[in-house]
Amino acid sequence: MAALIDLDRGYRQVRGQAAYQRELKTLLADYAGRPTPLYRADRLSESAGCRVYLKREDLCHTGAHKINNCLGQALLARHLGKRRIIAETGAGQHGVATATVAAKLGMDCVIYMGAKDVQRQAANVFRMKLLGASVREVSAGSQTLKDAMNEALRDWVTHVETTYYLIGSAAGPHPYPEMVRDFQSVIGREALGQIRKKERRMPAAVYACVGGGSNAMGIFHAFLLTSTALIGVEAGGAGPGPGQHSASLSRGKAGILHGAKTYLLSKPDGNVADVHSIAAGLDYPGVGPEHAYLQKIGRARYISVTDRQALASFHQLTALEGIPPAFESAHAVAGFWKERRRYGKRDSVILNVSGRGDKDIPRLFMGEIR
Amino acid sequence: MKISRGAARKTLAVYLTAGYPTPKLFHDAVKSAWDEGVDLLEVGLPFSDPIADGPVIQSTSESAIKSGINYDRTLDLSSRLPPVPKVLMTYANPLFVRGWSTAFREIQQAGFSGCVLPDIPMEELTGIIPFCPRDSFYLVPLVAPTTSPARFGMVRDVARADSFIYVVSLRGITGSRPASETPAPGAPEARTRPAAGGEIATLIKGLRRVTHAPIYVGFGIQSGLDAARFGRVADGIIVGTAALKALRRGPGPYGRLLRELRRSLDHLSD
Repeated sequence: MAALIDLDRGYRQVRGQAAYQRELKTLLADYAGRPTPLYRADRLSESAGCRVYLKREDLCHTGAHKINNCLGQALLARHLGKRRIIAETGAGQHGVATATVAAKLGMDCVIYMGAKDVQRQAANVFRMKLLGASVREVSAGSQTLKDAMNEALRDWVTHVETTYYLIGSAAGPHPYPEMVRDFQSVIGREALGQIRKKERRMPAAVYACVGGGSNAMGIFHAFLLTSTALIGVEAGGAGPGPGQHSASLSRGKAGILHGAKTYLLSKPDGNVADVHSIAAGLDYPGVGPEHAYLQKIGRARYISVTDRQALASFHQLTALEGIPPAFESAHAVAGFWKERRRYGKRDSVILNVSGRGDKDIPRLFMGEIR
Repeated sequence: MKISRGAARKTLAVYLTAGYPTPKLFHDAVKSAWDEGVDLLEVGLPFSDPIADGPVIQSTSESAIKSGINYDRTLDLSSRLPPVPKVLMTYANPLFVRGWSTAFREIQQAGFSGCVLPDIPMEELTGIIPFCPRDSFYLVPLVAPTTSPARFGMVRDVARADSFIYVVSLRGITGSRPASETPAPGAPEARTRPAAGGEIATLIKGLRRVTHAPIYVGFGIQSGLDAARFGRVADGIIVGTAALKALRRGPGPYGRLLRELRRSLDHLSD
């Protein structure tokens, strides 16, 4: 708890400093490649029957939106005098972004990753190692994101004085959900400005995938006070049965995990349920607490799509637009596709393509997925 | 209910995972703890994500869960133990999904006098205390070497009548490294980093200024030597991982460890 109190204080301090904001802004522009384009996907629009825009977070350095948050937090870590950075990762995107930023700032880096994810996201493991990070495989529990987070928390309390824990999702204990949202909200701010310029009116809806929920929180935030519908798409996995999906908001109940009270997939006895998704980055039994709040007050709506539907949308976006999305982001596309008939010809819709699919492509050829 | 048997002697508390290695052997282990002079039993209700625990308790928890030990079974097994004073150690979610009030009432009915919940900070414990049964049931505040004196007032508020304060001896998780051993400089694999003995003594001195609650030190205590080191400055010690490791080897080594700890604490009160 002392560490969280210090972190909160440090964040509030640094957030108001012009020098910090300036450095972050420069890095986001020159290093991460922001702003990312808002691209009108004409062929997808044509087959969907409305105007579809893609927020191209897949074009960020390291291939996903994760770098936005990593830069912000790593600069904070440096401000706090920490020289060692640890992180959990599911799909490996956050691990790669963390390892990248650690390399850039000359810090030691340890990434915790579930053994199952190490296997299915091998390309990213290799990238992290190349970047100088040490990747610790976690073979406890379900061997996925949740277990990586358990292990990272254990590391943090053990090395709390020297180590900064860089959480990649809008989940975990305060101040992480708020901090991650703040660093990711650049996505929505850009998208709002871009769509105003291109369409001269507000979009009907924004779709984003939700695991812990960082990219969704990032793009939703700027739209909260507008009339745009906000739809989070969760992983419906192989089906609605226990252990087959990771749709915490659609099928979970209130619970407490990793220092947050939020929607959680628990068993009746309070143990955390097994979850599944084809997308390692969505394979988490909880969800960021702010999403729980947005669902509760009705400002955002959360739906789920199955592995199969996500995979179909992966192929669809690849074939129609030449953009292979990450399996995670393919959920956003699939969620929209499921609801496309809600929108008229003149309506515009933004899909957040939170990451690129390069990491998933090998899996398509290894016969693991058909 | 008094939480320790003799006021004069130092408290020896032992943590055991409920139903581990089997319900029968768990029961026997509690019985022999009672016979060996253990004052307080900490029963672990196994949780799927024990973030404060090291590899040993992770594995005993996992194995207990696999064999069907859950909330109901833990309370059931616990209600039939020898009359050693006991607290329940678990994580927030199993009790939260049950409903705080219901859970605390049921836990008390199973014979527990309190709960240790390592994933709930004191700031949140104060909000949960109103759900506790009014009489003699407490939530145990955990204090670590990193806890700043500014939060000691909260420790006092959480430590209600009869509660003890759980001082975590190290920066880290329950675990594998003896508290008397210093890790090699720069050893990144060190799972636990012992706080210097002086640091714990200072911490305890600070706590004594704000509260009269007994102070027990846990995490990383493996031997009579550790017990003596912390027993000297605290009112008692809590041993978990080492007890489970000994129990794995058999009732012999387990009993010997408890005797060693007991003797070492009794020396201090002589």
